[in-house]
Amino acid sequence: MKKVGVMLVILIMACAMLAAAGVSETQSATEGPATLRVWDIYPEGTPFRAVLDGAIARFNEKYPQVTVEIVSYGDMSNYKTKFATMMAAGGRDADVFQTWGGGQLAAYAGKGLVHDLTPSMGVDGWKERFSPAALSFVSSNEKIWGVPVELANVMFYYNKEIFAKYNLAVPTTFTELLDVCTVLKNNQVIPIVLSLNKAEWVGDMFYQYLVTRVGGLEPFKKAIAREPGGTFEDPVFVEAAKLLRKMVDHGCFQEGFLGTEYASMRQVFTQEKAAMLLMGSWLPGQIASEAPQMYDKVDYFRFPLVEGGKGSITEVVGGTNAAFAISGATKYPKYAEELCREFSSEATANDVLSLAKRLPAAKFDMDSVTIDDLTRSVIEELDTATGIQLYYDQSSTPSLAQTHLSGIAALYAGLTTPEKLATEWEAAAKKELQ
Amino acid sequence: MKLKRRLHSDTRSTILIFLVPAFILYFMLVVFPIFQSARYSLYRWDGLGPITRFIGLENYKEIFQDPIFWKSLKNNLIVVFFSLATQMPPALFLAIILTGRIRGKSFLRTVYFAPQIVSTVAASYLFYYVYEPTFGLLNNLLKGIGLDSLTRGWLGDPSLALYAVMVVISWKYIGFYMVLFMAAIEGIPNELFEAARIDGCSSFQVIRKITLPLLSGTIKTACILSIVGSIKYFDLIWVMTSGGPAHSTELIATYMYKKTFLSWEMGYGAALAFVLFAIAILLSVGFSRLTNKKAEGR
Repeated sequence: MKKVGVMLVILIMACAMLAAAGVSETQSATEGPATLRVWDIYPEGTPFRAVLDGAIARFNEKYPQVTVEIVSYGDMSNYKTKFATMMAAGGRDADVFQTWGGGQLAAYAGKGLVHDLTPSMGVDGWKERFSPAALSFVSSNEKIWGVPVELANVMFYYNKEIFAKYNLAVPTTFTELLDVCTVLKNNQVIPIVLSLNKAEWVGDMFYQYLVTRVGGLEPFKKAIAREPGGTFEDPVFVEAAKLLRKMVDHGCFQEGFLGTEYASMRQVFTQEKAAMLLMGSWLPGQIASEAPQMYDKVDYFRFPLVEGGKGSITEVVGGTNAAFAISGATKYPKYAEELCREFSSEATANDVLSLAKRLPAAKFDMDSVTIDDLTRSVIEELDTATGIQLYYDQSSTPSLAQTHLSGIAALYAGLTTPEKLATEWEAAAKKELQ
Repeated sequence: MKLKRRLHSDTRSTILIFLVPAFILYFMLVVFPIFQSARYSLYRWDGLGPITRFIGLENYKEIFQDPIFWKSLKNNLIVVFFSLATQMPPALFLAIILTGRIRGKSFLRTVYFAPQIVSTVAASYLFYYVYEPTFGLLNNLLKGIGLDSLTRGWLGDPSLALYAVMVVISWKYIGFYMVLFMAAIEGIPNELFEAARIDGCSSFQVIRKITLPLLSGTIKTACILSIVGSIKYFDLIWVMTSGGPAHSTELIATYMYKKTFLSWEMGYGAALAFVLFAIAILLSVGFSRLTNKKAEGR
């Protein structure tokens, strides 16, 4: 019996020691060695990884006492699920994390899980390094919660060679787009490649553009803000859904697109089996690193106008593609802020442009980087844009975004009607936003 | 006598001490969370802030009115049925063949067991590229042999996707049940087979009269494993389709995950978890009752 007692005491002591070990490494100051853990989606070997690693190296030159640990998840859906779990547990596992801004970041910020950057943004003109639009994607309640690093606009990318082969002109109206699709389809070329398997957001970009072209930016803005007269049952949303169904029925997309994954969709395009792809401005950079031999064949056009619609051709769908925020639970907010400053420095912004061929959110120096014509004109699109529609899923609260995305998938699959889509979306919005 | 008792109580306390760490872990990671999620299921909670909005059984009421829940339950039952029908018979067949006298036994065992060792995510991607509609193996094979009319967007067709994924599930699990059955067959005393053969039984009679009856316990266990496994199935579906297209491969577990971590409806997710728990228990208890009665009836 005595033995049992001794062993139990040892066991209890061991537990206590473990617990004590956990407590002892608490709030050390802003000086001295520290470890910052960064969560993002860029795996080793991708151009954007190189951009961020460069920024981290510059940060380490200034703060050699800080070790930066990177946890990279490879793709967005994977990241978002892991991230939600981590935040639900208090957000202690990441000091700095990637975010897409909008409603999700606002929701986390509202719960006090995100470090407020507003005071620091006022110091040394940090705030002035971004355009107001870029900052609006990471702000809520008049506070800034994140640092935008990369912006994105969604454009129709197409294969010039295929278009030339069949004497096709770039479509400027919805009807012309359907006609182009007919010609391509008759020649056994996939007109537009699309992926909806786990990537409903790709399909949603078509819908967002159609809504914007039919009714401009106002209907969504009013509906999501629950302004008087704003509703997702607005005829604009139904009309756009009808046009989307028209594209599906017309055969604009490849067979089996509902089962195609995001990664293999790009392969269909780079293997030149498909002529068009509606995608964010990160696409050219990906093609340049994955299929450099076809890069010169790629060009883009703006999403065509819908006949009789209110939208203008210079209104674009887009948002922040990479922003970083600091966890409210971090032990080293000062270091984390410094790292985020480096993420938005001119050197980093130049790298975003030249190494990754993407659109920097912070001010950059166009003269000090060499870029190709495609990247240059895609960037200029953002300057000429008269309005930006932030992605619907990122403008919404998580639950509303899920309802909307699964409704869109059902619309593509022919399992719901445009009217039902709008009704269910509005019902969810009423319940969620009150 | 005294010495014996001493020894007895000593071994018992030793056993207890060795069990304590495992029990602490089990309690912390299994028992405690079950009670905790039972509590969460009575609240409306987004998983982040404090838990304040007590709503009683409202979440459960909502579940039973949720068409996606019923759709998932139906899919789960299809998976249960399909798994039993396509995993047990081939596994049993292979086990009987591979315990008999046949050349290359150990090689074949390894081959059939291999899918079980392949990681689920790797297997999912492997089969994703088999099913890929544009340049996937299956569609190209069909085109190659002139069966163009049979090509499909396998994972994208709402009426086919679930079956396409289930083929992969069966491919992965047949090897597992085969090994289970093989171990049981090898545990049957050899004398029984010898006696039967001396009495002039044909191989078929040996299987019917000796192997199968003596395997009934193992078969029952395998069926219960398969039923429970199918009811809470998650990983392969999650990686291949995440329940899509438009919920046509949604299972209760994937729906629960989406509600909990993508929609931030932690309370609703917890309630779904409890319903899942109840269904799994009901089905496995029901199944074992049913088979026990049959055994008694004989």
